[in-house]
Amino acid sequence: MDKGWTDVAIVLFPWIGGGAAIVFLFLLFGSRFLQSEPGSSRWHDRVWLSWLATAIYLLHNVEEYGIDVFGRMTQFPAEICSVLKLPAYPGCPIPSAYFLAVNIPLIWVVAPIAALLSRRHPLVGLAFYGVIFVNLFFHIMPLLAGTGFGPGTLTAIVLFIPVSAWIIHACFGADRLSYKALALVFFNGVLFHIILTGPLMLFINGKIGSAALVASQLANAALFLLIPWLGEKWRGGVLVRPVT
Amino acid sequence: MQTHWFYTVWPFIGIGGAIVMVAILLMTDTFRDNPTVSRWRDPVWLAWLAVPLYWIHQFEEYSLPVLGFDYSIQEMICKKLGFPPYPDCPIPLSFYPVVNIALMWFGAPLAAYLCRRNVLTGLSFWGLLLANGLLHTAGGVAAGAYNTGLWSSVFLFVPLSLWVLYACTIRGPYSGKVVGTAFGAGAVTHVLLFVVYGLYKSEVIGNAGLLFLAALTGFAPIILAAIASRFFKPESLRPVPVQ
Repeated sequence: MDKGWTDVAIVLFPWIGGGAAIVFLFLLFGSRFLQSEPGSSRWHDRVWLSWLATAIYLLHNVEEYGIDVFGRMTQFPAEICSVLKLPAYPGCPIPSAYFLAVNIPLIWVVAPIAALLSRRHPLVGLAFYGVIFVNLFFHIMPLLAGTGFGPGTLTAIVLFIPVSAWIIHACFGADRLSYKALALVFFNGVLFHIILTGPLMLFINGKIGSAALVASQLANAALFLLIPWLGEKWRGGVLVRPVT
Repeated sequence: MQTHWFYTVWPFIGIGGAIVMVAILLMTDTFRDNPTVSRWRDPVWLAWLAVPLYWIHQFEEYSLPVLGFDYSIQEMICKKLGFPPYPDCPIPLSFYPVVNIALMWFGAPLAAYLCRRNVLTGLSFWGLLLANGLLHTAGGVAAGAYNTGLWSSVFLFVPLSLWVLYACTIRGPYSGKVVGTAFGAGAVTHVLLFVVYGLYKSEVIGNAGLLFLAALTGFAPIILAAIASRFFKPESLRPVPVQ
């Protein structure tokens, strides 16, 4: 494990995000500020739902990297090392910088940008739910397989499942975005997770170094935003036209 | 020293909230009462501004040991009160988050929320910022050395507190008595905090009393402002459009 500021940062970043999430939640539920149409239901407002995705993922980070239901701190990296049959920290070779590079660009930068763009770019705004759909799968499957309750499982159950179900109901279908648009959101989430794990495997097998591993995750975050933006332009915007 | 995990992370939760609050305060009209005038002259916006500023200050005060710097405000307080350093200092470590969270996570946002109805209450925490800022600054000058919280005091608390006085009363629509009383409520809260330390030092109260009074102190500016408001005409306390 790297020794240095990244080891301090990985312990602290979820709490900074958690503080941001608290402010976001007050604004989401205590004001109309994050809605596109202040008079309408926030639960049918795509802009509001885009900001909600940011807030709930920041809370999810608190469970993964802050403290989990068993009171374990920064447990997610330890869990990944265990799943990959690597030695436990400090012997685990995965650097803290990798986890920071996965989370901070995506959740602190890309997710708010996507929410800010959501007024005019609905697919970009909802893109973050692609990460939530796929991440949900990775947290729930071990639970269903009986391997246990990992760090992040509680927020996946309490937040990701109901909000994901609601997003699919409220944003996709008749008079809403098409299911092809939903497929693109889902595909984007899958691709993000492939690029998240692929370079990690290359790093563990000694094919790339830690700088390339971190760089791959920065590119991954940028690509994650680019794909739905290109998707909106595909075939003259067919994916963002309401289904009749 | 062995501490509870929350004692380490709470200033980082605050700085996360401050980042979002400052961005929203500076880039949107969400916390403004009157968008037609400068936000820097809007008492409601200024009342909300005090909240993230203090979160930044708390971050400077309490995060430095966690980030590897050799400064600890807890040790400094114990030393000033004549107690031995931790782990022998009797002040429970829970005291620091309790007093700070009560003040600035609950008290200050509540005061800012109430500012639309009562400017005296809304601006009361600015008195705390000014008193605290002057104390840190004077301590830094007297010692000729950095103390935890000095930078945010010098660059944020003192200049912006003076700006609030200038914008609200010297060049603003509110009487000096109203704004002065608001600042007084905050400043008296700081004095009350020292009284609490004194009671603890002289063993009039124990750990439970210290924690109870710490939590109560968080709402002292609002309580004092509410009492003082009874001596003013209600119309003199309402936000008025600034020209």
